[in-house]
Amino acid sequence: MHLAELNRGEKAHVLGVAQGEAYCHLCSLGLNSGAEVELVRSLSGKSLLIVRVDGFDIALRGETAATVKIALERAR
Amino acid sequence: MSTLIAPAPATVAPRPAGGAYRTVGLIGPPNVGKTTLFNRLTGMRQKVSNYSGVTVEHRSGKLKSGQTVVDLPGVWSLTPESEDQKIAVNVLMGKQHNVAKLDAVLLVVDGTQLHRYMTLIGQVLACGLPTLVLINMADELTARKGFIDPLAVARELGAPTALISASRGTGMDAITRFLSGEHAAAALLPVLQAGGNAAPGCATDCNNLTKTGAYRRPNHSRFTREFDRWALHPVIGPILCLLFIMAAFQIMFRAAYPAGTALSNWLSAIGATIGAHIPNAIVSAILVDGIWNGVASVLGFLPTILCMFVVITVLEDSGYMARAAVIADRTMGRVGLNGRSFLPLLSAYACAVPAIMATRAIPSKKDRLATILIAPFMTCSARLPVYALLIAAFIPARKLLGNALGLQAITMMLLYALGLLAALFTAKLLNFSMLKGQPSLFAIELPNYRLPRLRTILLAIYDRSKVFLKQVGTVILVLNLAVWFLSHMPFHNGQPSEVGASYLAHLGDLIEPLLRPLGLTRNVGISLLTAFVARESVVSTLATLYGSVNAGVALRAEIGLAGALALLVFFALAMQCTATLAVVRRETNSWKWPLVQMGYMTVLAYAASFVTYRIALAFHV
Repeated sequence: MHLAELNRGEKAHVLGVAQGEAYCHLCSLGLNSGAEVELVRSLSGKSLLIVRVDGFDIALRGETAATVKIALERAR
Repeated sequence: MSTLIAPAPATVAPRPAGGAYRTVGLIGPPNVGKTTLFNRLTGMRQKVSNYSGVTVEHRSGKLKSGQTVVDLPGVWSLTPESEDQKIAVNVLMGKQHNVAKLDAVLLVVDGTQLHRYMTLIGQVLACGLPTLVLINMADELTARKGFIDPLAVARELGAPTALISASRGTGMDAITRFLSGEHAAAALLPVLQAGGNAAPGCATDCNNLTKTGAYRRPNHSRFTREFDRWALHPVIGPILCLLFIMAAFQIMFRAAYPAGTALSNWLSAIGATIGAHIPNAIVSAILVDGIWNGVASVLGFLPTILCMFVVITVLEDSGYMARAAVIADRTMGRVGLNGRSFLPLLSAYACAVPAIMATRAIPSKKDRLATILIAPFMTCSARLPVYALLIAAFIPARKLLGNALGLQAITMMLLYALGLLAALFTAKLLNFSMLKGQPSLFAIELPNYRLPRLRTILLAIYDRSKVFLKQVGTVILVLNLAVWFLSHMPFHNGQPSEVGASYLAHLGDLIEPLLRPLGLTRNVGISLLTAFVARESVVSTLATLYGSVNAGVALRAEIGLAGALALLVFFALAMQCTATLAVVRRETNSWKWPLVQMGYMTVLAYAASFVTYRIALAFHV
């Protein structure tokens, strides 16, 4: 699954970012493999997402988030 | 705090002749206090902010010891993603024209988010230049219950490491010692190669730091999370953003503008006193009417312009600007732009020239060009004096909504909105025509909020006053003098001619037929001609033409409200700035774009102004 499929409050781990225009930029925002992500809020449907990456918040568009592969964290 | 640790050197770079390094590069990601450190080291003035991508040009300065420090644009990795990152990489590799090859590197990172910079640290160290890793904001890390052991970090990285606080100035002695060549040990990290696309082990490296106990991440800022619940709320967020902007306009009109008027009146009173003491009438007229009054009327706008810059600096430095970019992204997305264009467009409210330079931080070429083309529509500070003059002269100071809002402030906001609408319309037009393409990506960090630093605000005020006063002292002064002479020549028997019979009047006669459909007169036409060199000089030109500081009253008798509205609309949309044309030529590297831009804006301004005048007449305004 990818980052844009995450529901509000759900946590996951990043598996990797697809190579492309956004790759480097997303890595620099902390979306490296292994990073913990949580969806804090989605705006205008899911066109804009506020995501907590290892405790720090970033904002990104849904279509950009779709290039980030994630694995859902098991419910505790 | 100032710990400098030399690691066991793996590979030692040759020590420079004479011991100390001559040219040192300052590199680091955006938003880590790199510019603050640069200012502290060199004493040079530069804007510091809390928003990614503000430092777009490399700057250099001299240390007290005579060594040169080159401040590089912020980079996240050595894989160039945008124009400014390419520049940074070129300087680091010694391939940038006009920049000396670096002898050593100061690499600045933010201690509160060390895990995010491991890729960059690895890549910079792999370049093989003697490098000192500076972990900034160490004080904030400790305050937020984080921990860092610089000795262990230095061992893990294989490079000398120092904890500093650039804003407080602690740890600077470590830098001095490093730059003197005392710790000329460069370690080559075996894991990463510079310029590679992959970033292997960037998370693992930090995991190592965490495992060895060298680094513990700080707790999050509770205030930031709480406030963001409102600032990024789908409904409350945009309202809050609008409220901030409205508050800024109120401050500008309630406090800054009256202060400016007082300043201008005071200066012209001094002028009159000086004039009375000069025996020769012509010399007195040249000095007082030609120079002093013109300059005084423009100087009166200094408080308003500074107020605008203070607002922008506060928004940037507090961290709110990134949230505003998120809020704006939805609107920007509709016209084919993204939130990254927001900062350049917002700084275009101050001046289009630095705004166009700031577009270098936009990774997508298409977005960058679109932002450059629409930036001059945003209401720059040079338009403010003209708006302020016309509004004060033509719009009654009526209060609305009790005492909360004035009609004049609303008119001003409408003019700002007009510029913004024209910009959005043009962006949409470009997206459909000349700049068709894929939707661009948008991803931005939301930094912690912090109190704007007084030092940063004062620097912005100092910087902007300097630029503005220089403009007043040179271009505007010369223009005023030229306008005065043109409006009083030819001399007959040693006496100046009436303005109506002067050379300037002939020039005005030539363009008057073009302006008549807009309800404008010869005098306005003349002032619009001088505006090409400096927009704000319209005010002083009118003052010179009417022979009084209060050009508004004279104008009211001449063009009426319908003409004034047409003039406001024309001024809001026309591209009347040679400095902007020059910078667009430089940034797009062709004459095509500035010429297209100028032609388009002039036609749009003329058409909109004509329509405004006709509508106003139809409503018997």
